[in-house]
Amino acid sequence: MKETQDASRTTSAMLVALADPQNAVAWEAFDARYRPILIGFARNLGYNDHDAAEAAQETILRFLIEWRDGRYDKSRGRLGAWLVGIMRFRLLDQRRQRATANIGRGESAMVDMNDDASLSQVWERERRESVLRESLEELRRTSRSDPKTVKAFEMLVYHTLAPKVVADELGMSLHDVYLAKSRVAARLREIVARLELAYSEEPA
Amino acid sequence: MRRPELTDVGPGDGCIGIERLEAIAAADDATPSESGHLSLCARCSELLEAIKGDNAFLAEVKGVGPIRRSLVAPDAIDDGPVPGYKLIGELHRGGQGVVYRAEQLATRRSCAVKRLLGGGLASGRARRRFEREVELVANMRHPGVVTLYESGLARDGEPFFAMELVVGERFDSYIRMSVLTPRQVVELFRSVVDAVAYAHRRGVIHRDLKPGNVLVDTDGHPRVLDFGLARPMENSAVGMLDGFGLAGGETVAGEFLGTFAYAAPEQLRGDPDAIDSRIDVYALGVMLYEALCGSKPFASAASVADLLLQRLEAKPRRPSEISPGIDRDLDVIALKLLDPEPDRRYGTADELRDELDRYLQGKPILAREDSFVYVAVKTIRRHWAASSVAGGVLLLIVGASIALSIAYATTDIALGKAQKSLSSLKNSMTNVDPELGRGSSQLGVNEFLALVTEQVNQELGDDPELLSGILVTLGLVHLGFDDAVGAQDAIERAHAMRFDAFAQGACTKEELAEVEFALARLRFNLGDYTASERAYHAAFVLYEESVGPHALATVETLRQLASAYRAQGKFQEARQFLKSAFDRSASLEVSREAAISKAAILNGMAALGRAEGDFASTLGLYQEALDALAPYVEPDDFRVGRTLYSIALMQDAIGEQASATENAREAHRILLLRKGPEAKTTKEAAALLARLSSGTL
Repeated sequence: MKETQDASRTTSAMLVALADPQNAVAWEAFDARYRPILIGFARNLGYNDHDAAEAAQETILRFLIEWRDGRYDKSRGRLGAWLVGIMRFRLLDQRRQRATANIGRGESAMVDMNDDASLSQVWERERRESVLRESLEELRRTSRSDPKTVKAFEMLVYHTLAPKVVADELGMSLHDVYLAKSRVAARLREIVARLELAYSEEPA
Repeated sequence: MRRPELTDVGPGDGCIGIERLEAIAAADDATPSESGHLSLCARCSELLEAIKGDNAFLAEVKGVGPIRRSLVAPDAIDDGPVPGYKLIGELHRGGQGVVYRAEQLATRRSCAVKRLLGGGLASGRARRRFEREVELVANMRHPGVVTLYESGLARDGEPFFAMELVVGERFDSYIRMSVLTPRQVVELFRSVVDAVAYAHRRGVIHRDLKPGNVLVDTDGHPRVLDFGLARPMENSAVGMLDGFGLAGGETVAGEFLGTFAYAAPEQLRGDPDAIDSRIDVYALGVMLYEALCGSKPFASAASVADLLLQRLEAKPRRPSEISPGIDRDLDVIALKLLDPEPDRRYGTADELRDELDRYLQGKPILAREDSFVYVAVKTIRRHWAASSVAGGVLLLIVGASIALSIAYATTDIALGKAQKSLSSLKNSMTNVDPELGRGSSQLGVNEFLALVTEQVNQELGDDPELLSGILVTLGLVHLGFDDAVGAQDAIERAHAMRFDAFAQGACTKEELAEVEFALARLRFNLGDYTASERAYHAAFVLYEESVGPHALATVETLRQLASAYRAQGKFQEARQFLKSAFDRSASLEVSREAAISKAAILNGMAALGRAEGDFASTLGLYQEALDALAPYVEPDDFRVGRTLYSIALMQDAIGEQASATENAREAHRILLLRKGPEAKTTKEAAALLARLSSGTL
């Protein structure tokens, strides 16, 4: 299945594939992976959804241009920093425009855009969230457990229902509810670990 | 070690049960006897730790946000997920949503139902975009725009809307299949333009116009679809739009590349100031061109990457060259639509439609009157940008002064004060500049600079914009004298000021680029090459976006970026950047600065070859650099000195000691004169000369 392949593809493999500018699949996969992180990144910095999405789009485009020009440094761990660097200016640009147009905005929540350390912290948080989100998606898509197990997990973890309530609701024993939680957690961990590897920028 | 599983715990083995372990993990309330057991039983304690680990992990997972979509597989289509409609089959699946052919149960009429694709975990944005599309289309009534019937929530809580089902063909395949004259093409195209013009008048930019989003129905009427990426124009009174994505900020993966061919250069370049209804006009231009010629304006592009480049730089061929029967007026209209500069396109689809009407009625078209004055002004501006970029230290000063004076002349900032400060600064600096100051580099330049800096700080402390400009200049002059420490304060302060100013709209990209460049040089001089690389990169992006990809400043920044890579031992990247700089330098206009830049690039390439031990061809590159430089600089320019030094080094390496000694001597003389005895390059030349001289004794 195409989606699964893309999701588990390592970032470095993806980057290699990008070397062929006609490889639309690679670009789509890259976009699908990094755009949400960039958007989350900007939102974390206090930008609204719209601005965040715009800046993310610009950043992906800019990256594309830079990649084409061979300007991206492939050495380990640099992709995030590179994207953050681009994004930073896109966001600043937006603020600049707003300021020019005299559009008042509350910016008290803004992170200091000049502070590399806090920017990379925000990036890392977003990246991790993205991995987790994608993992949940994959869990949903590929779950081999019986639906009751997943449902129990969902009720327990997401709806924060008491284990007893979950057990009663689903006609399971308390023991089985915990078992379900443990199994799904283990499966999810597995997916997360694999995706973490895929997101890392170590050589393929 | 294998992670223990709950199933490992068998009943009746004296261990603590799972339920109890879960409770302990949650509340940390083990009884004394449980604690005792846990300290003895490896299995139970490991299980407890595993549960705690799970809980921490799940808390993190949960922190990702609430899930709206069940983890359990969603309903199948035939369960009737959309109330009031029977979904018959999938028509189209895009990144954002799925369109089904459907039947409205109450009326039995055919329609199309669009549903949001996988609302679920990250659907906030998509949902808003979806809702916006509903809102935008609901307010439009035009024969060229599909009609919305109804919108609501499906059984799974996700939004849907039902719209008119357009049975027809894509715009491009319709044209391909019908044998149309150019005039008929224009007539059909005019209807598309009319629909887009209607949207523009209602303040909506489509942003994703392409043949696939225009269907020609069975009556031969084009219908514009998919306003999913459209965005209301905001602040349209001043011609600025809120948003500037390629195809909408909320574009999703699958649509990304598909839209490229129709995206305007300002979208590709990421120039937010330039985004408005003219991106639709550009997309229409690509569609018209394709319709007339049967190929896209940049059809020769081998790849997406080339397409980008072409869009920014190349000129499409005239349609009449490709397709006979197209007249000059139509050529002009088609090419005007594709002008890389938005200002030179039609401003709105309305203007375009009126122009098409004039064309169809045989009246003179307005595009022919493209004003000479406009072209002249543009040309002068372009040359001004190139010529105001400073090459050497002095030029930096003069350039910055002039640029600032000019910039502030149009504002209400105290012009007299600015010009006075700048001119006195310029005068002072001229006296200490190594290029003109003939030997004055030995006269305590750094102390003098420190005084000037302090003076400037005092005088202009209340004027950060002006102060930052002067601080950059001063910082660079410090660096010119190898005084990184003296430069640091000035440049860092200037950087902080400009950075803030940029965010406030009080400084241009070019000005920010200038200070990023200075910061990069500073970091480089301080030996922090990673930071230098980062700042050069920022400067490069900013320059490319402000003065253009082939401007001298951009080329120079590329070259320096290569140095930052080289200093980190990343030779491959360095080579790539130098190559790019070299290629670009070919299109620089002939000037002293361009020659100096080209020589520097050649020097850089030579230095890379040197690192690899290829001395013979390296020597050739240095000589080429010297040749490039010679006509434009004085014979004892410091760059000549440095290049001579490198030549001497290479000659020494390949055994030509006599020439090496001669060149080293000349290099040392020049560097001593220009840079002073304390400069690093002077010392290097002195050392080489000493070594060669002792060898010949």
